[in-house]
Amino acid sequence: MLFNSYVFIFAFLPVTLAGYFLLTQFSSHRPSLLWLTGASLFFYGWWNPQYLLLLLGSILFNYWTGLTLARMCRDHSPWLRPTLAGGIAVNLAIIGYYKYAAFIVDNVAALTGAHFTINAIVLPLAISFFTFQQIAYLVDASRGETAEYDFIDYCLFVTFYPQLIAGPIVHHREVMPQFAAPGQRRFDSRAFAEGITFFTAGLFKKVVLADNLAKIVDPAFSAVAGGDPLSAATAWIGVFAYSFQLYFDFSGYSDMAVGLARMVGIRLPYNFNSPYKAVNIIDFWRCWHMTLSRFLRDYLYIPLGGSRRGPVRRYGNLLITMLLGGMWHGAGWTFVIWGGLHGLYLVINHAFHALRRATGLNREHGWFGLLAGRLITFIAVTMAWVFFRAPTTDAAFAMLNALTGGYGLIDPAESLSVHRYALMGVLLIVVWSMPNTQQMIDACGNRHSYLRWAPTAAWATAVSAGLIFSITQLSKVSAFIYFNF
Amino acid sequence: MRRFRIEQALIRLISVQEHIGSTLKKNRFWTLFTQTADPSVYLWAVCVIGLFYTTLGAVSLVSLGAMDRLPALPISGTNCIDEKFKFLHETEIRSPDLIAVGSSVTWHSVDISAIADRYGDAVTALNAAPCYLMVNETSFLIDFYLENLPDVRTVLSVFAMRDFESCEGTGNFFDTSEARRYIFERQPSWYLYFKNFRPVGFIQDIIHLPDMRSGADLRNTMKMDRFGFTELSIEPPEIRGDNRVSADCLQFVESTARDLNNRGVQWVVVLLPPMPSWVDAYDPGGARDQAWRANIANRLDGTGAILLDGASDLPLQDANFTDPAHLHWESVPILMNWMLDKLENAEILPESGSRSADAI
Repeated sequence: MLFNSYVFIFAFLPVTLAGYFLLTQFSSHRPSLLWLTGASLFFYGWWNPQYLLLLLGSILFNYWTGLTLARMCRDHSPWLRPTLAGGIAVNLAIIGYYKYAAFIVDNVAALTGAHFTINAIVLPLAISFFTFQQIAYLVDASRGETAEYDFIDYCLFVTFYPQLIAGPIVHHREVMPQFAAPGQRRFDSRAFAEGITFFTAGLFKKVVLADNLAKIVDPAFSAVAGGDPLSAATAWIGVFAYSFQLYFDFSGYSDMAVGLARMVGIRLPYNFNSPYKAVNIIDFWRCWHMTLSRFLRDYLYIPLGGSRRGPVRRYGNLLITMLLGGMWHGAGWTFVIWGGLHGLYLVINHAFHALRRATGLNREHGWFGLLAGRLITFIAVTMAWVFFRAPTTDAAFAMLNALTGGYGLIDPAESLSVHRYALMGVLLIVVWSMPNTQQMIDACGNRHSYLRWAPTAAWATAVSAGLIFSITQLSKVSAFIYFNF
Repeated sequence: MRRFRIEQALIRLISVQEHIGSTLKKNRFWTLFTQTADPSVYLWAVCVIGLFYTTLGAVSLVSLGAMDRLPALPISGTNCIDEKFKFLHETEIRSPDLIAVGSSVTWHSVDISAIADRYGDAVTALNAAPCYLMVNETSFLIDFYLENLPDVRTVLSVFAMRDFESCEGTGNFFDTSEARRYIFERQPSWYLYFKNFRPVGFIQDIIHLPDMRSGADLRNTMKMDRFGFTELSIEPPEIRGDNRVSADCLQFVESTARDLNNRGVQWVVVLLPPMPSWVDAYDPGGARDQAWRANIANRLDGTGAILLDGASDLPLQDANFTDPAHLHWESVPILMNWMLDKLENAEILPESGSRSADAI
């Protein structure tokens, strides 16, 4: 079940909210949390009930292992580290089997020339998210940083429907205290109003902006994947459109998650903070998929040694972290290259900073420097997205070839889409100049007071229009695009 | 110096903004509009305003209907397809035994009144072809019609090379359950105006539909006769672009033919003759055109489908066309007579006694 579906908006959400607020009338908080947990499991099982067993098995195993690790930590048990390693290994084995088995077998077969084959395995929805979330829990339990959580609370922490499918990757310290606080469960009209506004902003970004940009992106990448030559003009439109599509899609989904949680009084961490305003790659990764960056930093980069063991180890750690971050997104060489590219970008960025410090040229940037930094970062990120989007490495290199004019600058047979270039320009201005959703709604560092949300008639008019219009755009109906017939 | 100028411009912009802001603050309506309310009032306002928008939308639809500017229900999101579905919803021909299905090539080539004139009540036919369809989409549409029109015994499709350009995917281009409810069960489906609302196309249709429906817009005419046929009369003929045939489309021709054969339905595939100036421009000697025709013949061989290739005995001139994929309406009878004679010979249609093989 997707947030941007009729069944979710008109059936699942109203029933879940009504049941939840009805049950909050009881003095005990158990019924309402149990209801949310049940609703979350139903939400997950809607896609494929079979994989509910996997999810529940994973929860039971990790909950039990976490309790064991916490006890071992208190008792200074010598079995602490082996138990932690075993717990992480089991999680990695599950994700490895479902997500990477075919990829590994294919590559081993290609390298050795052996004829191994493996049946296609359906990837359980959200496995990457709930696995990483629980690995973080195990690590923290082994450090004595977890409390003795109630099983229902733990279950809800993993399955909570707003964040289960596509994040944010929630840390137990962020939500467990909220589940336990009785004040959270009363109907709070302010939080509910903020939640609806977040949800509407996200839905609009997803179905109005991202899904329409896909109509530009998909033909471009299908063309290069199919071996059709693409002019540089069309290729650039395709990759720029993908940059915006991915941003609006993913940040829109994250906004919806934040909004849905806010409706029941839970505050989830933000996942995006205007990443295309970043003036360098380090800055970009502080603003893009922030909860994944945080996870990779805390549970991979720092345990690897981080920046504590000299610049060479630091750069090596960065590369390893980003390569594995790339692999987390998908099992394929395109994702490995994408992660590697970002690792390389980060190494260059850190080395450049070190050079500036060494030469004493690390003064503040002027506006031109900031603009140039922002533009270079945006283009570097966009080029890397080519590997993220392309179905194969061959298709990605074909797209890069097209971008550099390998198939000609402009195809005389196709009219130059000036309006599409104008659209890209407008979108760039929007992402560079507009405050993001949390800046508008939660006023996080929002200097643009005219776009700061408040419960006013003006905002009610805008939110209502945005919600209704977005709902009319949920269906996949779209006009035929070859109109020269 | 340059930076100083930019700062000056920014200061001026901010002062203009402040001026507008202070002017608005004096306005009572604006004050009410931007006054912070209790969040619960805000939530009610979102609901009430939402209800207002929905009512406004419904009133707009009724008004557009009264002005005959209401676009057809957006089932496919493409006006000429949805207009054809609207025609099928409204037509009183509910149980045809012959239907014409395909892209606009079929829509503008199969004049059912010629069949009605020849056979009277012996054949009940309907032109159910919309526009823009590739072969896979035609295949999908044929399947949908046959599921809902059990009396159909013959399906007639006229193809041009243009229909074979790209056949990625299954060709599923609309929601069949929505279409079935609207076209065949004639259930109220007004909610689709909200569910599938596409503002750009909707507004364009409001502006242009009257001319399309009346036939005044010659290029995009949707003026249909009672059998669903629409005449085209663009002059002079246009050569338009080149076409490339996709092997996937040929595969769909074969699979559709076998499927229809299994259902006991006769598929008649008619290939439009080539437009001479198009051949001269893009295919000198006509090798590609001939290869395309031969490929289709090979694919249909042994499937039970009947192939009528206009290139073999229907030599037409540029003046007979509006473009390589469509005939000028004055030339449609030539194609129809030739086609019906052939079908009579093949005993697909009954003997009419009014054969016109010499009409060309």
